[in-house]
Amino acid sequence: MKTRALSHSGQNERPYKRRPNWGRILAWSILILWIAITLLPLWWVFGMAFSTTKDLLGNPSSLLPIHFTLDAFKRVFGLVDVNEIIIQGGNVQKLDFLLYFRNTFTVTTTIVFSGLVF
Amino acid sequence: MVCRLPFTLDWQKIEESQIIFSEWTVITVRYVLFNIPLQTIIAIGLAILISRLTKSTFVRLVIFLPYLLPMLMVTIIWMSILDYLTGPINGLLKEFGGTSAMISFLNTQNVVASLAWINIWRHAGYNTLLFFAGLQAIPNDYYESAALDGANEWQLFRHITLPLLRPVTVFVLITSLIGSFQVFDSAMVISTPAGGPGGASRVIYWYITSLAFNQFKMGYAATVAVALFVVSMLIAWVQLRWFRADTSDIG
Repeated sequence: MKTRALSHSGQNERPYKRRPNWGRILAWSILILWIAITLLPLWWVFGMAFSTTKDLLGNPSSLLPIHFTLDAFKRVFGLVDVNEIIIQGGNVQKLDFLLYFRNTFTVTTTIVFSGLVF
Repeated sequence: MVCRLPFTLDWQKIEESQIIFSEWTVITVRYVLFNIPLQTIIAIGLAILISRLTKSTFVRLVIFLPYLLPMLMVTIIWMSILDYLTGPINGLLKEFGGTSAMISFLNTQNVVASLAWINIWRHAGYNTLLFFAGLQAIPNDYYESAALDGANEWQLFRHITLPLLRPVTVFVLITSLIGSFQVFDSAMVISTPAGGPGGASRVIYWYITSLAFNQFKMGYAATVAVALFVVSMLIAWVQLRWFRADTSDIG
């Protein structure tokens, strides 16, 4: 007697090649669709992080950075002076990522430590 | 001697605030109704998919990944994706359908649905993990014996998987319902750009903070907060009773 259900404990082990199982194909396509929906915004943000500001304003909906640049990273870490910021465009504000990170780090370690000890 | 109340009741203001309160409640309830059913269905579907189709850790990691991002960041990312003029979705729609095919995701009509989608995107992975753990607790024998009796996939799901997932479903529904009623950061961020849909995304929590910190009516804000708490408790209690969460069908 042949069981029709898919095995729940792993992949099917059959020596011969099977016909395409449409249910499986549908299931895989749904899964891949959801993975794409999950990853695309993150990819988009990575693309934005590595683009120049002018590109973002002029050609905003491309997924790959047109001109790959590390300008934004330099600004966040505070390694760029005011004139260059004006040339690049955008908010002229001194950002110091390492300070923010240090603050977050302090808060987190305090919380974790207190959670362990008390 | 006439005894007077130590305060006077300003009926006009009470009526006004009741109207506003009901509007904010309606918006929140609409948001919850968009959010929770879709989220739960997607989570159960994904849990079954990842437990049956593949053992790959990469897939499971990717599905859980959005929950690791802070809600504010997720909102900002999606705001820039759903933007009318500069977002990639509208860019694609414009390519293939012309300017009339572009959808304004963040106007007053659609902002609640967009908020719900942002929340679904972030929390579906977390709920999937919970359902997945619940699925692992179901013994394989039930499936095998039902398959021997000739049940197809849908019957397996409806008569074995769903009832045995009841405790996990209760937990997921309660936590996500209560969490949805307390939405605040994404609703606030979505309304910050100039000309944003200021009215259409006001949720109860925002009402509480605006009462407390803009209008300095701390007492009233505390009252609304307590009312929200009572409503949440009521929902949790109803769900616990309705789902009979203290019993399980396994064993």
